[in-house]
Amino acid sequence: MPFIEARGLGKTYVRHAAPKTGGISRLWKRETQHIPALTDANFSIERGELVGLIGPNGAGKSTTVKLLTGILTPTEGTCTVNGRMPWEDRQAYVRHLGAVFGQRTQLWWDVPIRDSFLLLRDIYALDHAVWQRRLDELIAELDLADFLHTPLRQLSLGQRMRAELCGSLLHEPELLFLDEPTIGLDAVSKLKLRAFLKKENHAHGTTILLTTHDMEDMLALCSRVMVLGHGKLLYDGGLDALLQRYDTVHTLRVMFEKTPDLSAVPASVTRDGDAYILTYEPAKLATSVLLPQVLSAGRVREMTLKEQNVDELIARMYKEMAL
Amino acid sequence: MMRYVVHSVKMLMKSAMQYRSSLLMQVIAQFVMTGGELMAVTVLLSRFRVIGHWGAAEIMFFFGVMQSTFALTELFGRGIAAFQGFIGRGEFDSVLLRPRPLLLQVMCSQLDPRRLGSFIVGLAAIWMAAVQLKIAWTAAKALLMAEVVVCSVMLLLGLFLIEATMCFFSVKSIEMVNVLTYGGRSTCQYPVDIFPTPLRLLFTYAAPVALCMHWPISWVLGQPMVVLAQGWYYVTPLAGLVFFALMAAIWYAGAKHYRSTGT
Amino acid sequence: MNRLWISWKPYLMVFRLRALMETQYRAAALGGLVTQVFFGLVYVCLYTVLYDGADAAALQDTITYVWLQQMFFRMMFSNDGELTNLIMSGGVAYMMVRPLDQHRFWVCRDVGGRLVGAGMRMLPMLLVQLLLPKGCRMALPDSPAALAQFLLSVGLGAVCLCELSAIVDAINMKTLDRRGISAILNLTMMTFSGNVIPLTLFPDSVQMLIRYQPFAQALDAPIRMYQHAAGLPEWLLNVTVQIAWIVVLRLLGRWMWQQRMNDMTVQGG
Repeated sequence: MPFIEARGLGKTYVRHAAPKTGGISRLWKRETQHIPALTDANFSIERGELVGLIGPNGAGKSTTVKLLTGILTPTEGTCTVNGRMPWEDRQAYVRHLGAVFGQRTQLWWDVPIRDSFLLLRDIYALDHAVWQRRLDELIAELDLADFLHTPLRQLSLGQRMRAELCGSLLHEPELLFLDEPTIGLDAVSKLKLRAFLKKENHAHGTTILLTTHDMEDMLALCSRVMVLGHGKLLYDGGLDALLQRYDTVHTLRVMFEKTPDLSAVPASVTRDGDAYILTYEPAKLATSVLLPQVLSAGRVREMTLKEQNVDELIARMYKEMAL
Repeated sequence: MMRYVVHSVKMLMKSAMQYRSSLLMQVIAQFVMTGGELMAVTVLLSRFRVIGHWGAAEIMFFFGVMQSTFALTELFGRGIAAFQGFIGRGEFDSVLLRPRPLLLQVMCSQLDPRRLGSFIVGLAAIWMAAVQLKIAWTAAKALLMAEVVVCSVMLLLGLFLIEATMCFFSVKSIEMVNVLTYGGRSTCQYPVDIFPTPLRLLFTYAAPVALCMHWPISWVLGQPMVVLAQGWYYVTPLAGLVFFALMAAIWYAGAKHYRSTGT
Repeated sequence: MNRLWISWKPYLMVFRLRALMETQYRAAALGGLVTQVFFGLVYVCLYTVLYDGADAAALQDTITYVWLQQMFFRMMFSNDGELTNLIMSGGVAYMMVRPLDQHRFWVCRDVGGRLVGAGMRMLPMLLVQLLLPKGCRMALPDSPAALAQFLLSVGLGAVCLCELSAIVDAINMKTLDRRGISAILNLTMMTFSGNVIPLTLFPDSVQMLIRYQPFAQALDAPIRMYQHAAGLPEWLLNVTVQIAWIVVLRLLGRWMWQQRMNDMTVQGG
């Protein structure tokens, strides 16, 4: 049985709002809206996997994470994590998981973070020596020593995120949820965070489920992605395969010593000043086939090959999936 | 300038109406709360009958004037009264970017329509007391009451400005200034002449609530605290305007300091 | 026994942390001290005028009541900003990823803050008493026994208050509107606990009713014990009433929190 398994999982919110139109009756009338946030999601995740969850805003990522953490109960379908249903006996269930929500805090705002960690020791009923060893390890890995005695509210965003991570990993959870963990972080902090997560996944076999808008996070961390849109699971598989599917156009920019004869080259050619831009579909025309033809067309002074960047790819994918 | 004020107030009304039911709840809450204070005063009066040489109805009148002017002050002066949060959220920085007088912008940034609840209770108290006392209203007295309300509101705004000015200097224990604002309300809802000299001097000359409110009112009630020629009762409330101008000047100096240090 | 200890450990820890945190707020305590002394003096003056030399003993009792009111103002009127923010921002739902009884957790935290906050203001206020003119000072406790009864009762009062406060929080989670209903509830709490005017000054006809209602257990009950050393049967009655209200409020609050937590898992934060 897989570690995490979802069957037909879905969640519909009921919201009450004032009607948009209608005169004075807007004062007391309320309309009931049913908003499907997630419908019929089926997936399974094995222990130790590092899975990315992507999709545009409002696609159902956070709802999925909330369902899996037991914060929400589903309106349809079911899911199990390690054989347990998250929303049943929540207190017992959450003992074995960690979660970081990039825009929310799970630590306590106004006490030094070490005090928060002490409190977590007691909340997860950890043995003091075990806790101390783990804390020392995380302090070293996450570089927390400098602000261990500072209240959370005084920390920078990057420091806060590291503290939150530490807080969610002290009890060595089997499963870690990260909801936009790199949001608002600077480049150095992002790189550090990614390296840390990789190591944590590797060293402890922690299963990690990550939602993000940052494609660099995906590339660096996840071999497997799930794409959500309009509350539906649209893709579930390898990140490479996904990129290849949408990475349909490459451009080759070439500058020649003299005017070349490109009539035999099977790519479409445009000029950009002195340079020639060749666009082609790598699926139909292998780069290895194209290159000798270009080289034989004239003396090449300079040549650059450009793939599409990941953000463009994803934007195209969203567009094609009509998100 | 007027257009800016009108437009701001419109916007604030609109945003308050976004949460109509919550707003209504809060107005009722304020109504009940001030009503609770009224009840507390009534409990005291039912046990003791008189406070000094003032009877129950007169006390009620003083209570009503203080509560209603204080409610008006909080209604229109929330930007100043809640200035600490305004600075804390960095909103003051965006105010500095706009080409309008600072204090006006701060005042136009927030309304507190909840205070209508307190205001109604205050008015009701005045009305009940006036009926009981059978005050013979004349144009002169009505005019004086209007002047008292306007000047008292300005005075109270001035008191709130002290606290707001301290926010520029990141002073701790700002709550201390509550002594003058909320403490002033609790104290001066009773006529100031029942208190011992130090308190009376404080609220007559330092924070001139008595000049703005108690002296002219006591004349309207026909029991002047201080006997003056009639015209003087129209002059003493102006102390509120002077006080406000003074505090506004100090506040502006504080704003200047804030811009140079960027606390 | 050991299991019980472990299951209560996080709650005792949060009590301790909150108490320690409260000791950091010295500037606020100083500001509070000035305000409270001022209000105390104003009320003392007011009551002196009201009694008008008629009943010196009753006036002294009322003055003592006023000073105790002011000393415990912070305890009565404390608001856990952290919980408020969590409720307003919907962050309470995210706290559910911790294996905790949220209700017990926040109540314990609240008790820690209130007791220490009260203690920090009580000592300097006692010193201030020495500086006051004779007619304005509070009286000593009725007897050492009265002092002991008072101190125990203050502890129970704080717990009672926090259970009440947790109920208000549960209501806030439902209405998501801290300022409306909770303002009324706070006022009710302040008025009927004796923090606005001494409950002893309410009309004699309602005295029995007013001294045994839940709010009175927080402040009025301890003050009465301070002023009047009760014999064993009466003392037992007073403490039993306090504890009984704690039990009732606790059960109610627990149930309400559970309802809110269930709502959240259905509605989303």
